[in-house]
Amino acid sequence: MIFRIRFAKYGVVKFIGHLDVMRYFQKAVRRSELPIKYSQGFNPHQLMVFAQPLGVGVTSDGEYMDIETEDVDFAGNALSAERVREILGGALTEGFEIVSIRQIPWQEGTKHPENAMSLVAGADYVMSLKDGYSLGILDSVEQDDKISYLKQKLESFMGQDNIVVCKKSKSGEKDMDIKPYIYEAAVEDNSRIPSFIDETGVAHADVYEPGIRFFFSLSAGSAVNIKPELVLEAFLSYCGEDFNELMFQIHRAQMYSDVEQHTGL
Amino acid sequence: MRKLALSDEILMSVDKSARYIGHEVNAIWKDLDKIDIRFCMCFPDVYEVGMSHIGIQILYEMFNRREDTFCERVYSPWPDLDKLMREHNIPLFALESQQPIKDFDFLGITLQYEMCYTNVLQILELSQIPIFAKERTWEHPIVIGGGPCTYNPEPLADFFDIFYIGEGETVYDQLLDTYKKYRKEGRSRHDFLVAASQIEGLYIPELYDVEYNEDGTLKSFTPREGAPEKVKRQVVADMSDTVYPEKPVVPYIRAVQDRVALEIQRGCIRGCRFCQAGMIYRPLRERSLEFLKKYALAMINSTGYEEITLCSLSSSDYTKLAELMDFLINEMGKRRINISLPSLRIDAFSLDVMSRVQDVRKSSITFAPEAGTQRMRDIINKGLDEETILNGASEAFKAGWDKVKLYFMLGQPFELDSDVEGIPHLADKIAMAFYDTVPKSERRGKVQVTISTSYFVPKPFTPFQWAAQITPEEYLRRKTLLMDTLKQEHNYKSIKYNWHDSNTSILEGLLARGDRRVGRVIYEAYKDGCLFDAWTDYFNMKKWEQAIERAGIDMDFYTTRERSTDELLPWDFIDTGMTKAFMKREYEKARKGQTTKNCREGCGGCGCNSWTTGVCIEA
Ligand code: SF4
Ligand code: SF4
Repeated sequence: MIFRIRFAKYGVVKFIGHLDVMRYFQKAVRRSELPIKYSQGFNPHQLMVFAQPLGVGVTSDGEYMDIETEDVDFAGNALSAERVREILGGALTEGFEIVSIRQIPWQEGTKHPENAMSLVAGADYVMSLKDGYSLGILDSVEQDDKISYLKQKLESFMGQDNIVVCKKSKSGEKDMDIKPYIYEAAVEDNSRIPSFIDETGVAHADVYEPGIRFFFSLSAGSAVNIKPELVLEAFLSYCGEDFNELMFQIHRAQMYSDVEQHTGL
Repeated sequence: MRKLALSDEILMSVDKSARYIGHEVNAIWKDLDKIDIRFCMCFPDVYEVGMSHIGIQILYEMFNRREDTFCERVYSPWPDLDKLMREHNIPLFALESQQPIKDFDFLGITLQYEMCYTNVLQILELSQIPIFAKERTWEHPIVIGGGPCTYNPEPLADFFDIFYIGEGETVYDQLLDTYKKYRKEGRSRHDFLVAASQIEGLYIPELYDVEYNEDGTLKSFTPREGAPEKVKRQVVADMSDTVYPEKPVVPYIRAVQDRVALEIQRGCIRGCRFCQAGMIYRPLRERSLEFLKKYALAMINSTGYEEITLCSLSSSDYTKLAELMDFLINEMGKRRINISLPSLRIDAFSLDVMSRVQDVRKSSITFAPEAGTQRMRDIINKGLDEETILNGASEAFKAGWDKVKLYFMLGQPFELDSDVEGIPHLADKIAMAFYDTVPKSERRGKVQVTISTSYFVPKPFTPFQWAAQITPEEYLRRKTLLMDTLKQEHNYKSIKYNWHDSNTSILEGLLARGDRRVGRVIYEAYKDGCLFDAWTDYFNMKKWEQAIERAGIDMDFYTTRERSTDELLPWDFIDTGMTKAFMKREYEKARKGQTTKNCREGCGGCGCNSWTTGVCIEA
């Protein structure tokens, strides 16, 4: 049986890197006595696939992993999504939480369905201005007008024909037009979230005093992966403002397999 | 979730920030309003090293079983964070509550190796606790040291309020109860320390006056205010009726020991004369099979680790090892948990067990003959002869192994050049045994024999505690002699040679057998920036040499000088149970090349039977 688990990562565990998160879940599975399946070979490993790494310092409500299990638990009862949630959920510690879980239809012996990793096509992000920081461009703007001022700016930023940024990768730097990969962009205060993000996606997003939150829906996955920092940096530089990564808390709200339909993994 | 002591900005700018966030699986949390004593347990090295230490986990469990006490943990901040904490004036904090340690009642620091001493001063200074004990008041925690280095605590005497001599499981309750009483009654810190000195096993350095002779040796060591002349080492009498963690804390980041550790026994029967661990943990005490089974399963279930390791000084001497291994192989097999087995003597039984739990093709077999000739092995009382080594190696080769690691020491007392030359000779014989045993068609290539040598450091409470350490130059000469001899060996292409750095070992020698005056060197070195000396990248011999110079310390006096067996030694005030007469006898026998039986073959009369436990009273 294959189960796809959506989980949240929040609070202090945001400082744990991707490899350690994987090790954390491997241990949680062993503590939980979930009847996970193992690979063959001298050093068998658990059949567990993570959709996409999350950067150190980033929180999330939209992480995914697939696990392949036996059909029955150790007591001999048939496994279900609910049971997996109970068993594994009980072994998680503060900072990790199962948001939802579903069984992926699959007939053992037939071809494996596509896994979470290969399905990722898009992701939603929330970027909140942290306590103690402010934006220079807002200095002369009245408190009540700040959001609408940023909205205007963001609209004209998105209204450009193209948005060229310098994208760094392992192979070097190159200029790239990221506009086609920004599906949505919005800015709101703490009281609102834009319609393209649902409540679940911000359940564990920290809320900060300045009350300025940017929302982006971006291309993600193996084809074109756009980091939200890149977009925000481009926007701020468009406004004539310097960007500093520490100013914003990044939160991944959700990941999608089909961006247009907004279907989660 | 608790608020972290460090800001996001700092945590995002340091390496491995998960070292500092606490909240690990099985970490304990208590309501701060409901406890009387806050204890912070410290391993003065980086998190990944400190979290690998089973002793801390035992004490963490023990303290936290007390309802009135909350024990938390702290490790050395890595230099990147150290710098930021000083810049921003952030006091060092405990991982659980993320609150400053300076507000705690106790700071307990385990002293596992000498090269962590500057890290001890870092912990104190970053905590904003006065480095020197005499400057502390009730405003500051009681700083208490424990662990193997307390068998000569003198170089650290100025920095600690109390040293706990021996195994931590025994008298801490008494200490905490006394503390509570004295605080409640509003007594002075000094009165409390005087009262603590009456608890067996506790050494309060400020209650002892030291005088020196003109030649620099110790003249007298005198207790004041009723402190005992001899401080008695603490020993756990029944290893199966004592505290052990069922739920060890599991780090998020990979620790050096990333596995469940099961201490199967404490102590060693073998009595190798260089070995401090073999002497200070006497007598050998086994834990019962029931105890080990129970804790093995409990720890695996509560941690989710995929590996369990047995710890002990010499696992092959555990009498029920076969039964224990059957149980583990069966139970861990079901759960797909790997078993690792350090410190086994290579014989048919251990090879069989090893081949069942590890990949023979990838693993290597290890021998620690510690000396290259039988003459020298008799001197150090290493009960391992060439025939046993060669037979063991041949058996291993037959079973499919083709990698052998050999550990030796250079510079043990009475070593001759011919003993040094014996090391590559032995390695060559082992390589030869491979080619004799394994037919060409079954070989996967050359055999790989690796020789490692370390530079012998004489340690307190061993028969070699009086011996001279050889000079670094002499160590290098012997190392070169070994290398040159190796090049002449028939199979030298199958043999690799690694050696240990000479600088750290000579310093270790100074710190291991130093007296109170050596504390100045540690202080000067620390103030000049020495930190993480156990890490090659950070160790700076030049700075240490300058510190020794500034402190006016004569290095040779402490390291390369042979002491008379009549000399008053800085650690003589400790009563480990082992008699000085025994150590003298052993030193004499070493000189004559005579061996002593191990505890199971016949009691060597070391004096530890006064504890009436363990191997001393085995039927
Ligand atoms: S076998 Fe020898 S070296 Fe090993 S722990 Fe025992 S006494 Fe020490
Ligand atoms: S008293 Fe005898 S049996 Fe006991 S530890 Fe000493 S030598 Fe071994």
